[in-house]
Amino acid sequence: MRIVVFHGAAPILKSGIMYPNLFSNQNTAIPSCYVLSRLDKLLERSRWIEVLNVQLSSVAFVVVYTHNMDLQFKTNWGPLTGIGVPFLDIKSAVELAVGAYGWWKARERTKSLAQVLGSAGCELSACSTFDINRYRSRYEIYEFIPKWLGEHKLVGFRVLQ
Amino acid sequence: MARRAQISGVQGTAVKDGTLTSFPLPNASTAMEGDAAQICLRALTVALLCFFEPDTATHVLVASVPYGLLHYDQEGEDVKIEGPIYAAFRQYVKAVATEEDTDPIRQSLIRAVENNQARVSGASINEILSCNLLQTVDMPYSIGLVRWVLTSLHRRRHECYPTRSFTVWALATVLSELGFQVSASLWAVNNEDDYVAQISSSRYRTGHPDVVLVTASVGETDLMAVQPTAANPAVTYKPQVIPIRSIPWVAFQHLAGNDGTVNTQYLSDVWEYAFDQATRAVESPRLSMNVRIKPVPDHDLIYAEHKRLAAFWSFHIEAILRAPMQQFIPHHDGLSNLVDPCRKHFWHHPGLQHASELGDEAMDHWYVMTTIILATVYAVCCKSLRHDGKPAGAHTQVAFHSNFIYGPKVYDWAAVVGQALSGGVSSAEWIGMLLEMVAGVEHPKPLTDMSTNVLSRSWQIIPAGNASLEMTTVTDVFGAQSNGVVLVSDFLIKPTVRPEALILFHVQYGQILDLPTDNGGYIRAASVTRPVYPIPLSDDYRKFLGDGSPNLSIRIDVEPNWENDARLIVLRARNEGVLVATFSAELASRRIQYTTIPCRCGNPTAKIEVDTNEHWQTATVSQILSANGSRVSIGSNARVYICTAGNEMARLTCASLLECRQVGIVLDCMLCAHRNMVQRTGESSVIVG
Repeated sequence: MRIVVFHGAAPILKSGIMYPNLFSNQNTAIPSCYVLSRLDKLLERSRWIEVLNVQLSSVAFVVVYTHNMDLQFKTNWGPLTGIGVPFLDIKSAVELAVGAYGWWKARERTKSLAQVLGSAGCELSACSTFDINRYRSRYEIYEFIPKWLGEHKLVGFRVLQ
Repeated sequence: MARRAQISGVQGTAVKDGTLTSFPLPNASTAMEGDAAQICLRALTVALLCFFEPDTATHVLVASVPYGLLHYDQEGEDVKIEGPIYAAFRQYVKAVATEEDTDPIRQSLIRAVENNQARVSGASINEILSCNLLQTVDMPYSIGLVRWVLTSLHRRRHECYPTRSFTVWALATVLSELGFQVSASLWAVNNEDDYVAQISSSRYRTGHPDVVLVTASVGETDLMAVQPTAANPAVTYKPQVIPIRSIPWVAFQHLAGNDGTVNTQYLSDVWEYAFDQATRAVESPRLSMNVRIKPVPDHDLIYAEHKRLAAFWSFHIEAILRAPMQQFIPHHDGLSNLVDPCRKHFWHHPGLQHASELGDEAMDHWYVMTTIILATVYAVCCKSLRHDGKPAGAHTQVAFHSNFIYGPKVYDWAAVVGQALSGGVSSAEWIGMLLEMVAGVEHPKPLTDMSTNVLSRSWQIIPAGNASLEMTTVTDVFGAQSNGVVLVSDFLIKPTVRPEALILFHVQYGQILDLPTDNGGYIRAASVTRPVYPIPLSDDYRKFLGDGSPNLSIRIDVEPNWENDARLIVLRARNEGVLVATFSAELASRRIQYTTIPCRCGNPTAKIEVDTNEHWQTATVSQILSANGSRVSIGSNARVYICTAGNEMARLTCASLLECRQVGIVLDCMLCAHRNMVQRTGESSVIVG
């Protein structure tokens, strides 16, 4: 088990941290040892990362829990890659996602559409009134945390507000 | 309004520790994949899916993409999007919708629209919101806007795009958020001078081409809209996922600027009071053949006029409406006659387009009554819901669209609740209503249509209390996923013989990962056909019922029907990890609904002595399971007791594997079960207890 604290302008773990909304409704400074012990209990059940009080303009801090990290990152679970939920029958879940009747079909259908259009003598093209960078930045806000976790090869996360 | 936790990325949902849990899937989103052309198409699709269901979104998309998103191999060639190409687009939009329904980015885009809407000036809020009532033109007008947005700037004939549809203006806001060069003007036009200044003249042009909301007939609008034709499919709108307590704010937002008493704030207050009162006015639903809800005394209507009015929605719902109706509805004679035309209008002509013809007073009472009824129905429905393992309440989020109000839906829901408050309603209808109200499911056929093979199946059953044949309906649906909301029956999460588990549903948000759904989004049971073998019975007759130990450790799992159709579910029983039986959840549900015998004596007895002349023979759980998971039959005119020693999973497995018409599953009391079963003659009787 490993706990990583990611912080911007926030106080660091050793000197006590603001720990909002998780154990009480009020923001309270909790000594690190207390946080660790409570966190252990919490994560014993959830076994995935808790990202606390993420304000994307000024990230306060992120508490990360990793469990069986090596095992989980050697596998390719399609859309389920990167989650750490030991209660899930991963084989079934992956089949239900990417199998013949699976729900994760957007990538496949995009390719099919391109091929069907190709057979009709045309192809998709981006219109000149579309700013792809602006689109990316709109999604980036939602991909910031997953990206960071991916770079650090971590399991999963949850944002609490 | 309770703020929803902002959670990044596509959400997944799975069963954990006896409840449904939601968590992020950081690698599930394909929103950033592909080349620029694919991402551009994706962005456009995402924007349309904020407002429209996939079929409508597909129609808008295929009518627009040739205007800027297709490149032809040979110049001058044109491709008509129909047949297989249309099908490919439709499949694509549906796949994107599945992903986007569970991605909170949609919530943030809709919030952007709400923020912009709050900042619009130039016209009154009533004028602005009245543009939201022009739903008949939303599709052709949206096609016009998208064509204009996709056209290169230098090719556009109109620098500014006036529209009289609020949906089109909102779509422009979302397209802008997603990177298209367009902006929704925060100045609405309601007079000719403004129209000339904003649209005809280029004096006030901003950096981006504007989409301007025109709230009065002062000039031409929607310049690139297509003509509505009969060939166009009906427009279907995407419900929003909102807390129950926010429903009046969405349903009645067009009344926000009303000067009279009845405005959005007032109706929200009515809602809160009615919801609170209804929560206290009923007990949790019970299931014994039918769904029944016991009303708490002293909540029924007193005044005759109130009763007449309530009867427009349901004859029996009056049992729980006293407090809100006395508080907010006058009871003078003639009120129901005043409101009656409103009921007929919305029943026959859904939508608000011509509602103003009904008169303000009548509409005001209709609004208040609808608020009371809907809040009451949702409060009753919450008694059948759990979220994060806790009872649902006003904070629970549901998929809702304001169109639900201005049509027959509320009347249908009230009728179902009313039946449950009186004689009882079939579980199929009750579950169908829950799926509609919470997940916004649009059932392909009416719930009461007996010919449908989705929700209402007709069965011949012999209920525990009535030996005569009876036709009734059960359902093979145990949950659904729709609009990003997942509902799963408690029976699938914690299999049990308690009937109430069949009508208790867990609600969660995200893509369900560990249970399959069919093409309609339903979690449905497969039928399992197995041969039937008779089991040999010993000639010894029992002196006691309720004793013995099965010495088995049975677990029941819900799994996709991998061997046949993985879109359906089956129940699998395992003894110490070894598969011993596969059976249908639908059959198990039918057994539970109609053959469980509750304690009526008030003094549950686990073991009773019986006369040997009653000829009770014994079959063990091992005997039932020894046929390799096949169904087992009992000889004719036999009375058999199957001892499970209180093991609920063994009870459920045995009851589901028995091929016998008169089965009684003991819930708590062997004495009551015995009394019930000895009354039956002429055929074999089996007590599973």
